[in-house]
Amino acid sequence: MLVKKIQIVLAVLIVSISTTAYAQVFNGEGQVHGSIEIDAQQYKPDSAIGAPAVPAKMAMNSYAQLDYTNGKISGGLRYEAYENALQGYDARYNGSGIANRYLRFADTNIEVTVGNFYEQFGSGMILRAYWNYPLGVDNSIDGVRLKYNIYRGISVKGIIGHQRYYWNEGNGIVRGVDGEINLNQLDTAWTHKKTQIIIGGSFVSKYQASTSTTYNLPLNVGATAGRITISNGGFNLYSEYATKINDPSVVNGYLYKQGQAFLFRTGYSTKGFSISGSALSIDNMSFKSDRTGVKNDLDINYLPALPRDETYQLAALYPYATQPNGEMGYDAEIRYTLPKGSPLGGKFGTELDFEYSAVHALDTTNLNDLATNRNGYSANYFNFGKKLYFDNMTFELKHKFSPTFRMILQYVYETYDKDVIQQEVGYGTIFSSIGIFDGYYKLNPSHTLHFEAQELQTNQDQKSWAFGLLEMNFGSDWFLGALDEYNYGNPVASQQIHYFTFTGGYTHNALRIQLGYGKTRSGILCVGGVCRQIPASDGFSLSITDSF
Amino acid sequence: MHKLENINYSTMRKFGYLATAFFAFAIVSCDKVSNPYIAKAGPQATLPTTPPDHVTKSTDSTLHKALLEDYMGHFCTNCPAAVAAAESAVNDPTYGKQIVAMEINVDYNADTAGEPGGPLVTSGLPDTAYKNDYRTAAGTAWYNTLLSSSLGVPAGMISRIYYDASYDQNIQYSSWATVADSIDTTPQNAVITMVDSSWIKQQVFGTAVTVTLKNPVTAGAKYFLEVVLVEDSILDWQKNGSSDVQYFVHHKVLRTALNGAWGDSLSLATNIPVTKYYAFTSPKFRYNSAPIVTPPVVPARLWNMAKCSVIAFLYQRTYGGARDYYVLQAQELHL
Repeated sequence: MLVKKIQIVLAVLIVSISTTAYAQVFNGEGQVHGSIEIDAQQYKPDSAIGAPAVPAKMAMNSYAQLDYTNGKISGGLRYEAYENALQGYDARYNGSGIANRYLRFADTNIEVTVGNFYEQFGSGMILRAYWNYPLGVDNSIDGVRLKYNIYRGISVKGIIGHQRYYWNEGNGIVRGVDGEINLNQLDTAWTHKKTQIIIGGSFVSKYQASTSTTYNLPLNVGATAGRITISNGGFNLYSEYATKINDPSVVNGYLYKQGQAFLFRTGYSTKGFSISGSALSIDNMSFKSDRTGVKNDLDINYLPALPRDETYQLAALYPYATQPNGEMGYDAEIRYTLPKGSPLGGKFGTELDFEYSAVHALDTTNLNDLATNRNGYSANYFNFGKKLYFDNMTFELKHKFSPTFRMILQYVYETYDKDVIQQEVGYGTIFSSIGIFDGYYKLNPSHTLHFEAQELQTNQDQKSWAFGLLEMNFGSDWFLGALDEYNYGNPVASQQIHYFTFTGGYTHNALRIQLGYGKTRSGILCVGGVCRQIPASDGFSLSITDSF
Repeated sequence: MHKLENINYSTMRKFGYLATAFFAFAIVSCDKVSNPYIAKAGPQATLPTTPPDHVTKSTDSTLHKALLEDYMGHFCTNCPAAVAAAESAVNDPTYGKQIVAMEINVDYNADTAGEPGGPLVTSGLPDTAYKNDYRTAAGTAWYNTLLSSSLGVPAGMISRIYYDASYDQNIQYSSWATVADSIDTTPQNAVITMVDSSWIKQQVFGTAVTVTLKNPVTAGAKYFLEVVLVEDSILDWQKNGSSDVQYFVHHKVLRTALNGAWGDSLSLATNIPVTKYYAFTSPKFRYNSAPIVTPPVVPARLWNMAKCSVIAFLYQRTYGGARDYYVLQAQELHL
């Protein structure tokens, strides 16, 4: 099947090249771009940290992307190899082959793509096809995409196809259209107005056959969204509302309730100061091209997460995962830079950042109608549910003391309902305080010492942790590092484990080679509210990335 | 209003086409489902949320009731005599109200006319004669399992008891009244109370059956609750000797079992009530509560809810011995 598809693509490519060459769209100066990444891990069983025995002893994820552009024609492919997939990635990735290939024609006002493509309508609440290699998410659409600029400031997009499902394609067909009007571009008299307004609307529908003998399942499920963007100088506002008709699925327990989501972001920024606020309400908005899909499989849409993506090791110990079945949250952030030369700003200035976000359950009323209409519940969108899923308060200070020394101080307080967020049982809510010190000291023009000290205190789960990191950059090419993550507060003495890791590597332009050895604790990795499990591991690791 | 520059008619027309296509696409690509469940003709139907048209409740919880199963067929020439015996027993002023009777069509004599190898139909009868098939999966299963030694119909059982030391529970119809009377004089083994709710327009009914074990008959026995639907006063063809009776009155004819041939296993403890709920719908349901006339208003091939009852009976399994399949109690409630 795959070979046949490749043959078809190559045939189309050859025909396209020959016909478009005749039409003189090639300018004779084609460009090739590409990137490659290899991640390999050795696995040693370690019962103390829960690292299982992996029969293959090692695993490797890798890909190579190649894109060719010549005039109005471009095409590309991505070869992926999972031999086998790293622990924590879905084993259905095991194997290798061409996972993505496309051919594109792009003229001034029209663009046509056949093959695999990625796309996003608005914020993605009803359609976002994307690839996130670290998360193991690839829900690319294999089909056709058209983009057309109808008029100055007015554009439409249309897509149709099946989604990637590991090495196969999902059963459902995804169809969608999106339109956007930039009001300021409609008329030259408005173009230079300070207030810029863009409005957009989308509709996405999926089709999936049904063999259920119990439920009248909707074969075609549609979702609609409308959005607006307003900016005026330092002020900006983005808002989007999305709704979805009955979409019974495994994720929502085969409820027929209509889904909806509302996103509101606004902010103001000026030199040295910015303030922003967001609000998000999600109700029954899991939207997959296969109603039996679970986890990240065959997601058509993307539901944004308001809480910040923490980058520091211990602050990221309890990351938030968006709850597609329902949540209500908000986020506020203030950034202020104390000016250079001021008493607190010092010679180089001091950046202050305060952010608070909270996510609650929906305020719902049980309808007790599972034997009849199966709406399940009604939601009051003007109230927060009593249950707090997550909140995060972060205070950050960045200060540069001298040309050779700068530091970041961070304090984080988090409330984390592990049972809800990680769909576990019996862990309850975890309250944690995290202190972080991050410093960079330039020993000489070519040597920089990076050091981190972190402390997480909590009375729940595995109790308190400490973390230390020391990293030295030798010139611009070589680096060496060591880190230790220590669960010193674990009430089980044998679980008070040091997770040592040593790394070393070489970087040159886009090339980065890193070799590591050590233990990794189990946990979850989340990016933008989308997560995957990370199992415990012990052994060598190798990572190579490059692009051209 | 400011006039947009350079937007000509052609551009607007293109936009109009696209907008129209967008909305057309939006409309045709959504399936709004008003009823999540696939309507099923059979058990486990969904009950409507509206109030039922009829609610009936059983009131006689202190009577020990025997189950009389009259196995017959419309081509069976002797069966009307068995039907009469059953009717006589049910109408007996002394013990009749302690007998729950039903007609169960089985075997060769219940086959429909014109089937290859089936009974021959007297020449000159209408094409519609003997065309209704009253056989049921449950009735056939009971007949094959419990009446395997019978020589065909008529055949019958009273509470599935071994009466005359024969190899199975078959009892001659001439003894039905005597046997039923003897059972009814024994202490009540169990109580069955019922509530039936009917929705005529929706062609559905639900029943709640509450079982309370009073006097266990056999230690260690396992208990099963069987719930069936019967229809009374069906007028249809029946052989009676050498005659073909077009409007023979069939009583309490088994239409279907709501919970399979062998019912639901119950965990019973003495004096602890257990309630089971059943719902049933069928496109064959009609409703006519008027007295029966000839020809019938509701044809025999359809099911007249106004004449339907639910029969529930509790039986035990001992997996051997003379009390295996013994019916401890039976109850009947009109819809």
